[in-house]
Amino acid sequence: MVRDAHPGMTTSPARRNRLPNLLRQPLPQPPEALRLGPLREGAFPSTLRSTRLTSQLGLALAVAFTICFLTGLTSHFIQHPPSWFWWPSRPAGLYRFTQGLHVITGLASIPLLGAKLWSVYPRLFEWPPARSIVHAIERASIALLVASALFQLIGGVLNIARWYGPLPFYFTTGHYWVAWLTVGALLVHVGVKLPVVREAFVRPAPEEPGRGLSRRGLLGTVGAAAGVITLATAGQTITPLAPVSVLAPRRSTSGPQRLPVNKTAAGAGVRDRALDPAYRLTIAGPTGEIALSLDGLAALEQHTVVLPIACVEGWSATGTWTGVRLQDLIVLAGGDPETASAEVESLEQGGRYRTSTVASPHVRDRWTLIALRLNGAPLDLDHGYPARLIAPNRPGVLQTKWVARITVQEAS
Amino acid sequence: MRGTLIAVGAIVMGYAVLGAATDPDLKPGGVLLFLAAVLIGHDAVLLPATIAGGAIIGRFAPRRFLPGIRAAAIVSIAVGVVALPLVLGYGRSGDNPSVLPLAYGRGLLLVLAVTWAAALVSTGLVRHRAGTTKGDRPRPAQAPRAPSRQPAASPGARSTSMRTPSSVPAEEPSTPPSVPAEEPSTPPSVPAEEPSTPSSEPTKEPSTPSSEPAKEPSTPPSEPAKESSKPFQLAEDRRHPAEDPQPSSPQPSEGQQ
Repeated sequence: MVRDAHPGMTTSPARRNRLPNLLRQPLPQPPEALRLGPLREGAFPSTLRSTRLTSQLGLALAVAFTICFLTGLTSHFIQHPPSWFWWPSRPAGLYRFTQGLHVITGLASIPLLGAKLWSVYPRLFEWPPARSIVHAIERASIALLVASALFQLIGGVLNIARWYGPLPFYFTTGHYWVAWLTVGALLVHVGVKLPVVREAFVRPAPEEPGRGLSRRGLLGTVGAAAGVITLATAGQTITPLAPVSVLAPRRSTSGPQRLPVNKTAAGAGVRDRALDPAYRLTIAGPTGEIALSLDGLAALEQHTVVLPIACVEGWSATGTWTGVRLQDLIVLAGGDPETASAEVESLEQGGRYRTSTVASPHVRDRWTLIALRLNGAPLDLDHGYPARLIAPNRPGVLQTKWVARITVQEAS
Repeated sequence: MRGTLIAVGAIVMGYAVLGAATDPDLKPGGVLLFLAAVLIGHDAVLLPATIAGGAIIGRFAPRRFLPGIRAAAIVSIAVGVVALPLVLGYGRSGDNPSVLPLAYGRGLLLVLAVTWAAALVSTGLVRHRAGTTKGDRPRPAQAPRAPSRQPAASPGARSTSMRTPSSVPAEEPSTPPSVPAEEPSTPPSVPAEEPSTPSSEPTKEPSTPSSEPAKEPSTPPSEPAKESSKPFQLAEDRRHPAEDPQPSSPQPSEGQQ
């Protein structure tokens, strides 16, 4: 939505001929008497709005949304891998980086989107509201773009604040599909406005002097707002920033054993079963099933790794985990750790993240553990006591807690 | 190229609608409701309120602080959007104190205090520096930017234009040779980088004071403030010449719309 001298779709004469004339025929002009309030000419007196300003903000926003889309898509594919998708187990902190970037970029986009929409706000009240059917379609697609961009950012803010009341849909799925909607509408928008944007960058118009901020002053302010938001929140994953991140939804050292918790044992309804002395970890493999008690697990060779827990919500924290290598358990059950994958089930009776699949690269990785201890002490109940999965480069929701059963799946 | 973008975009939008409609996890009605709610909430409530607030600031704020106040208000709104759900704290859960562990009301006040202090101090500093040099500017009504700077560098232009702006405060332009010399050089030389400078510089300011142990770098705010003065300086520079021709100058731009 860039303000240009020839608003609306500017198409080459060749294409215009191809489209049915009906779509481009001027629609009847609405009565001038209806042109009230913001619809009046000159209702928006700020001289700061310009095609150049809008183009610059739009470009920054396009970059930010691309980053958000790619990192978000990565996270989605890790959790719901299509057959062609492959995700490595190293570098161990890659997912921590991509998902941290996703949330940081999304939050930093908020002032960008706000300024962008302000800069084109008068266009919402352009007169006549629809000049032709094509013009009406273009305006509708812009309404969809604005709505879906706001949907993504506001929904994301509510999600990291874990305030689901205002969201009348399941956040993860809605965020995923509306991301596609946003990107599609963005591509259409860029396609429509490309000449206007190019013109704005090639031939900068002299700025109208105003009383308040200059264009550069406004761009600087928007950048400053993005910077302030980043500093105030990014400490939830960039630990050195934690002291200044007074608005971080999480603090990486806040929680039992100095590590945040997403789902508590009570919340998952596993408290009694996790504390039951009759607890056994069952491993089902090609040679049958074996059941290990907590003491039995502790008697196996123990390994210690330092790995991050990285949540889809953008926080992350590093823990020192001690436990049994997943590949050792797979060997015990007669599986081949070089080729097998594993399905890990929790003591939870239900729930979206009750089970997770550990793909072959992560099974092979020697850092993938069934951990019994965290930061030098037995796992806290809320961190998955008696045993939990911890693997490098995986979202926290896939690091199954309160592990009850591991099923070895041989490569077919 | 453009046709391809539009076609691919339309296909992707179709994929999104189809996917959302067929995903058993999703209530499409809920998605539509939220789409409409955020659109109306933004376009009919938040943005008009912001524009009205900006107009009120423009009417009542002291002119010398206007850019700083506008900038601080913009940052405050953006931070407020992020902070509001945290401050309200509906996401807290009784059995999980690691969720929303901080005092977000206090955090928001801290960020706002630092933002406003940094904005006003930097505006004041800019204003102070600009005040000593303002007389050096000729007052072109609509002259393009770069040419208007050039004459400012020469003392001759200074002496003539000195008399013109009646709005210049009593700051004595006693040290003009040094200050104007640096000024004209700044704007034309860094046309591309400048937006990036302010975006990074003022950013650091809030960080410093909001960190508890960061008492000692509390001086930097004044340092970056000088750097970040560039954008605001530009604002100032244009503002004053603009004040007189104002009734005429906004009109042509409005016609452009």
